[in-house]
Amino acid sequence: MASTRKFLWVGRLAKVAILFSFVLLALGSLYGLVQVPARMPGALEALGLKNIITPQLYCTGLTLHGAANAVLFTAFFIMGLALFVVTRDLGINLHGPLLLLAGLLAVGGTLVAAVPILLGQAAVLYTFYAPLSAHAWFYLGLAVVVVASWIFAAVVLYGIYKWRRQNPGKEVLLGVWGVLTTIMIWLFATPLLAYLVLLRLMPMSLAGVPVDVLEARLWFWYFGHPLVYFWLVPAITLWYVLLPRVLGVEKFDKTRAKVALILYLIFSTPVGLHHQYVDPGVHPVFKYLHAVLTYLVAVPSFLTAFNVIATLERAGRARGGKGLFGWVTALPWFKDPVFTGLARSIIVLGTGGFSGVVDASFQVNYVVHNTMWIVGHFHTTVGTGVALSFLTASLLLIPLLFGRQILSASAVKVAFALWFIGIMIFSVGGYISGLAGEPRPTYAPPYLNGVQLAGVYLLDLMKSAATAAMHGALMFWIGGAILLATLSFSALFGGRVAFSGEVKLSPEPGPATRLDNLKLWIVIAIVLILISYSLPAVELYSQELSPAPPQPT
Amino acid sequence: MEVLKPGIDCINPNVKKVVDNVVVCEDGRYFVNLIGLRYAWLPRNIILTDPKEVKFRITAPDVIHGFQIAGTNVNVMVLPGYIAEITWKVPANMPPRKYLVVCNEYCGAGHQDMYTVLEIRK
Repeated sequence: MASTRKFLWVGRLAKVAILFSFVLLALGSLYGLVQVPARMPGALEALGLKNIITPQLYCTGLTLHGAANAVLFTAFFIMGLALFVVTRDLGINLHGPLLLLAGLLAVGGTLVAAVPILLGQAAVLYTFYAPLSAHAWFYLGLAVVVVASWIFAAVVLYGIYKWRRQNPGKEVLLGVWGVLTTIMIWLFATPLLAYLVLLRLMPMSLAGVPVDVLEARLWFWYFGHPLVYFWLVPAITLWYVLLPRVLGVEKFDKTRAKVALILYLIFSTPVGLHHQYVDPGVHPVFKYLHAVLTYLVAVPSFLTAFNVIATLERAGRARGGKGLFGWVTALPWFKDPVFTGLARSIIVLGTGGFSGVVDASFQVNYVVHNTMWIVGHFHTTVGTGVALSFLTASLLLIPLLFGRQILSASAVKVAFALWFIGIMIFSVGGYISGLAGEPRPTYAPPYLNGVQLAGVYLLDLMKSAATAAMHGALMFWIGGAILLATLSFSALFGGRVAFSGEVKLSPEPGPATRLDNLKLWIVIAIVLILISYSLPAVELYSQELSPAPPQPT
Repeated sequence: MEVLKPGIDCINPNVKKVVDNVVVCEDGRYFVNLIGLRYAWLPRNIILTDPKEVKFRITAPDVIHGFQIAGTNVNVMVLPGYIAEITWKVPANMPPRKYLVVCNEYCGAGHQDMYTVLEIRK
């Protein structure tokens, strides 16, 4: 067994978290498939699905797809991964009973929130914008998951704190650094989400108390953007830790990697207004401040791109690659599944980074805001860059943590190919149909499904681009289904593997540097959050709030 | 729909006529007052003849909507309790044709039916 007696409890919890994340991904993706015919022009009619995939099913499905895939799959996987990395890299154990409590609450909260969604009483999408009102259980479940995450965070942070006390003068290893950054970003982001859900949305749902829509949006996006980095930082940390390991080289620059994580920590939260560029009631100067900060949070992504590609170049040259591009072809494409999966995540996330820079622009955002462009964008980032990195990392976690072998390497390779080609078609099709004006969420719109609007600008382009995008989405979905099925069966039924000795991901920690002064970075981050969010908050609360009564979905 | 009269003259003394919540000014400027509600934009059809600048003022009585004219940079969130205002400087070479107006923020099970057509004439 890979999980030694020492980590029995933590290992079990990590396994449960990862398996539960797979279940959520499967459920959410099933409802992702429901979106495909609804958004492929003419498909509902042609396939005779009109009475099966109704607008109600679409809305319920989209809520589940967003909540399960983007929030819950990622959160549970990250919990499992964090437990594995922290315990193995630091050689410490964590408080089992408290972790168990956090796990039970997180699973319980998820189930409580899932019931009203599945019953169609919470079709508010994963953004749950007031005054759309969901069943109170939906908000209650969310709040319980958040509280569970705080208990989890406290246990992990306390473990790291104790290790630092016992090991003065040692650096924080990169994997642990990634866990710390992820947890800190989550802790910055969630208090105001809890305020919104418990003190605004619960009273709205239970007693019909009106809610100020702008206030709800401000605090939702205060949480909503750091959420993105909560997904991204673990994925990036996986690249930093795993690529050198599977390619057998040193990473290009450890210091630069840590600087990138520090910059994510500082800049990931004070940027949420870039989701509200086109909202009324927020001063443009505040939006502009957040636009500038958003470009600053792109800096660590560029640092990461440079560092990761330089590491790949080093590995390619070590394999005899010559010349300007010879190192690219010298890399073990299709041979090493972990490298192949991560490299594809990196390429796709790179394209998503560029469309993200477009989204971040205060001006160009007007063209793409809330269009299908955004759908193309976030399926390359969280949908592939993050999700594919996590599933690829599972190729290592399944032997190391579950003690099982991957059942079929060729299924994994086929899945990677379908996923990669599919997402490229999906995202580019989405970008184009978004530029042509196709809205971000929409059940089969009449103007793409038989209602003739003669001579309306861009409609033909929208139709072809949406059709292409949905073919890509189907391919992407099939690839994902093959990969997830292979991983799940491997984790449960794969042949047993045994490792002698303890599993360690990283080399022994070196001496601490000035970068390891984590308190300083946390203080800077908090100050920046206070500055950037006190401005719109003062504006909002100094003008009279304008609450709107709740509305059924 | 009731035609808005009060306040308009204060904004622009140049008013030529007011048709169905669209205020037409002598100098090619327009003021369009819109309401987004589940599931329509009112007024339903907007026709602008040789517009130079169009100011949209939009609100919603129920939930959040998103007003977008496809193929332009007119894109604004419409929040109940707030009035969204967006000014569109119409490019001089904007071809006279029909443009799709959508709701781009999920507003309920009939969200996909919330669209209309805006026509620019010369």
